[in-house]
Amino acid sequence: MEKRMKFALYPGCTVESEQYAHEISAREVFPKLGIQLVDVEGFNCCGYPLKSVSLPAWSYLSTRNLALAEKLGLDVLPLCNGCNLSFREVGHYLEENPDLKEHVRKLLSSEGLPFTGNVKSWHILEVLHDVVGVEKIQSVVTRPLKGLKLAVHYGCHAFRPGEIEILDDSEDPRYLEELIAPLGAKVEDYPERLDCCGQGLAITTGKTALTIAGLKLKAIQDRGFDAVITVCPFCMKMLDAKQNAIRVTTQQSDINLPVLYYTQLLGLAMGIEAEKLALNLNLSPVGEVLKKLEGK
Amino acid sequence: MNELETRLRHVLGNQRHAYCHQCGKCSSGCPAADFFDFRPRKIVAMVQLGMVEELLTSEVIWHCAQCLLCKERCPRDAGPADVIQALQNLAYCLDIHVPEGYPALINSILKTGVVQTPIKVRVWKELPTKDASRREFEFRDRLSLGLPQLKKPEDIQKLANALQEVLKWKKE
Repeated sequence: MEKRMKFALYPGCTVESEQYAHEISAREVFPKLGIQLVDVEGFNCCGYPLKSVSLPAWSYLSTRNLALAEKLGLDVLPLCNGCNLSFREVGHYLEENPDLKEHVRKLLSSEGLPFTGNVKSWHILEVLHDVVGVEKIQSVVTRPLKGLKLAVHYGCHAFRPGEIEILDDSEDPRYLEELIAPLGAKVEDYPERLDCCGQGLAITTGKTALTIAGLKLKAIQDRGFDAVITVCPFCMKMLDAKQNAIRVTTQQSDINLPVLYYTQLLGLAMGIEAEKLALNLNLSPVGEVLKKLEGK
Repeated sequence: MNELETRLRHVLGNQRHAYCHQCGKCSSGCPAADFFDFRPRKIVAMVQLGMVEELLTSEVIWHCAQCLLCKERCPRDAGPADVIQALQNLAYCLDIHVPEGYPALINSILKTGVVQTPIKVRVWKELPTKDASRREFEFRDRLSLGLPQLKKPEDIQKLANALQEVLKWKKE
């Protein structure tokens, strides 16, 4: 149980190099929920970006991080859907490919790193929902987010593939909704709820990626939501940071919708100042959310 | 079975794609299918027919977003997304056609261990609102935002050597 309240924080390349709002807000709220985050020296890329070109390279890079955490006796808490999926999937992949597993084991042992697979990676929503718990979250709310109507965007790799069993249901996940409800905001279903943000196509065809993101943002906005809540830095890069490019590409000049990380939203409900939650780093109009909460 | 088919099976590590019975659930939910002549069902069928070379030389295999919806919905557990990823791996292995973003990613990891080193980001003086008129901002880095400096792999050459080796794995 002791181990579970303490995690090796794995921000992941995107968060630690540019999506600082996720790291800042996570470092702000988790200790207040009784979760200790430990910085680990020597973490590398989770390997996920190389999965398309080299499954062996992905396996090595991914496993190396798990071995570093294992050395410290800690489970891993990544701040990115892709990193978590990478860590959760790699063990299964190596089980199916025993000769590659042996090769990776040798490479890691030459770096003095253990390789037993005895370390778990937790999705941020699992830690919030299953370790912290909805009741605890309810108990820290001091400023209920009354009057907000919110749309959730999990990001595909938060709940797929189902065989990895990350969240509650790979066809109908509900963890994010269940974590927003105690904050006092209204969270409603919408038909595009589980649609992809398009980011996976950004490396090969940026215009299509922007179009896919634009379709989702437009649908959410037209359905009268005040903001979108996500947990994935890649989705955030599309939905929050690219609204300008999306407006140009899709010629939908009215797309203009606040997008927040869940940890930012939670922090607001805990009465933490917007700046401490790095809301001044979001590129979408998040000021609108604050205005609505203040009844302006 | 031709040589490319054998190699593809090797990358895949299984033969689940043989279970596909062409129901089409994968293509019907695919987000990329709305924009390209990209159909997971067709790709799996072509692999079943031994048309691996045609797929490797086509850009079509790079139009997958890896959203994994096809893998989720497949009633036969054929894993269309896995088949597409294995084709991409094989294209890289054989130096056929790989989008230019990937070699850049590999180089960055070889040099630094990460995809991107920390950059300065835009920080607003006031929270942005829908009113697009003048917004003041400054650029700030991790440190000035109160974030700790993260220590990356100490012996980067060791990591780079291991990565080089594993990238060549089964390439011959």
